[in-house]
Amino acid sequence: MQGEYEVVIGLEVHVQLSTASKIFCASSAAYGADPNNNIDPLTFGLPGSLPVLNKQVVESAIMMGLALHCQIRRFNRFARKHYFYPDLPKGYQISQFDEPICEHGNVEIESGDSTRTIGITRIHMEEDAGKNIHDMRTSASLVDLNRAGVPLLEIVSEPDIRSPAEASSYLKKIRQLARYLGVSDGNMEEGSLRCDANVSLRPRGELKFGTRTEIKNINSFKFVERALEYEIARQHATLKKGEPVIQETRLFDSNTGTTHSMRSKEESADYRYFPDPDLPPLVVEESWIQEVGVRMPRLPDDYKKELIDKHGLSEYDAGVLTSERSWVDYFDSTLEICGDAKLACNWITSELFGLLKKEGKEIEESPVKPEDLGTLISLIKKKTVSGKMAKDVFEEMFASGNKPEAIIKDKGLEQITDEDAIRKIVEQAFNDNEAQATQFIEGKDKLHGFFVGQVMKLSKGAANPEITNKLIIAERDKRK
Amino acid sequence: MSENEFTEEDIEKLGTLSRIKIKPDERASLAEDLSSILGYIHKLDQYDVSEVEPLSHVHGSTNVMRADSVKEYDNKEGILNNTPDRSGTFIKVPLIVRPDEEA
Repeated sequence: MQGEYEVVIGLEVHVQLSTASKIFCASSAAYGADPNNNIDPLTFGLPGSLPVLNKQVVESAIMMGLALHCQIRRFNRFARKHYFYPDLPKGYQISQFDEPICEHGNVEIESGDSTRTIGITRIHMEEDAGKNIHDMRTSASLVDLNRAGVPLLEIVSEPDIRSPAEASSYLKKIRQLARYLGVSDGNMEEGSLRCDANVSLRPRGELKFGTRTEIKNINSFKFVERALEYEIARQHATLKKGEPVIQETRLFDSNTGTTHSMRSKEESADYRYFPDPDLPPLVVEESWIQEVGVRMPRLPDDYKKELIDKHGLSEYDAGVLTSERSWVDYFDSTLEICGDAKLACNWITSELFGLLKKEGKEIEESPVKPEDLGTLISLIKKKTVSGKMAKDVFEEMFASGNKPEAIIKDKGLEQITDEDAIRKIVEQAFNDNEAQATQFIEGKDKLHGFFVGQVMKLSKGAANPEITNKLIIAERDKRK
Repeated sequence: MSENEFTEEDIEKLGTLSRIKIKPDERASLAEDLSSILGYIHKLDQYDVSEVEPLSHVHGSTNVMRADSVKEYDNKEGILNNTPDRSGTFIKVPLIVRPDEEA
């Protein structure tokens, strides 16, 4: 915000982990099953059922912590957070309270043309709650407990974010890292990534934070900026009128683009946290952290740097390719075959992305495998096929899934680079078009293009253009 | 530790938090009962535990974990049959809308 106030934002992001099973029991954690299909005695909080921690959840938390430069806590305990609601039949959520697994981290985000470092306060592990559907007509709520017990990481940032655009950039970064690490699909539509924001304003230069509000329910990238912009404008107007901002939780309404006070009728929350006696402490030894670190895939920023420094790609191209791990993986496989980073990048970001977008496909579904694109690029470099024809070949590859060599052979698209062969075609073009040939020889240079066209027509576009050019000139000079 | 006695207001709040209906005329006797239980536990206050780590688990084991694999529970229908009311495989409960949920 321009002017006298500074915006202060902190985000709480819930990342749903893409484990096969739930955090404390063996039921499936998959999204989209029939209601109450992924249930068991523990999910229902039935007497006698005991939670057993899913090891993958801990390793996902460690990976996320390492990616965000956090300290990993050695001695961990889980805590019960009590509340009554039908989406959690146990009567409490198993979470971590004052002993989160990761603390004191930071992450670099893009802000305009530069970068900024945002502090990470903590990351903790917890279970998700079920889903309620409310039916006003029948005055009933329908409860589906498939999601109850699905693992979450809650990532809390320091109040270091200074604009809605930075908030969006931060959220994208968290999503990108989670996807790179393979810990979450980061799908906001399916609720795999959910975000609450704390926002306040303070006079520029003031060190003390202003009174903040918490905005809930901002579950898309588009809404993060819109919700924050609305809330900042609202607080700004309130302060300009000389009124205080009230500390409260506000709900974002995506239909109106506004936030409104939740004015909870419930008594103020009293979660009565205490260590869960059903779950023994979790000790994370240094050796385990190292072992997980070794298995971690390369992170996008490291990848990006390598693409720029080692392969000479532009900052922009490297940024595009590394925005998704599947993209940079595709690029890597293509590069391995063709050895030309710039060509590989161009073909992927223009031709491949163009066709994928047209067909509404993800790169994983691409009919053209990276190895085949690599081969096509090699064929261009060897001048077996011209760059222009390669585009037709590529389209055919995309449509049929066939190998480039086969398509080139089948369609006779192989480029003719043999000079004798092209010379014969040039001679034929001159012989077939005597009038034009005479004018050309007498100095009408414009006709050069005409003969190129004739040669291409006769060769069905297969003649190498450079050689063709050269030989047309040679033929003219010979006939002078 | 008589100053830690439960008041009737505490009993009312506990009732609300645990969703238990407590009649007004029950509050006084419950406050007395709970205070005496707490008083009994306060006997431990006479020991100096400033050097002792808080104990959260008695059995001393750590890192009890399982591999991330799915095992379907074999009596889901049995669990659902325990619920008071159903709509298909949904559990049907009285309408309850928290402010952050859309109706």
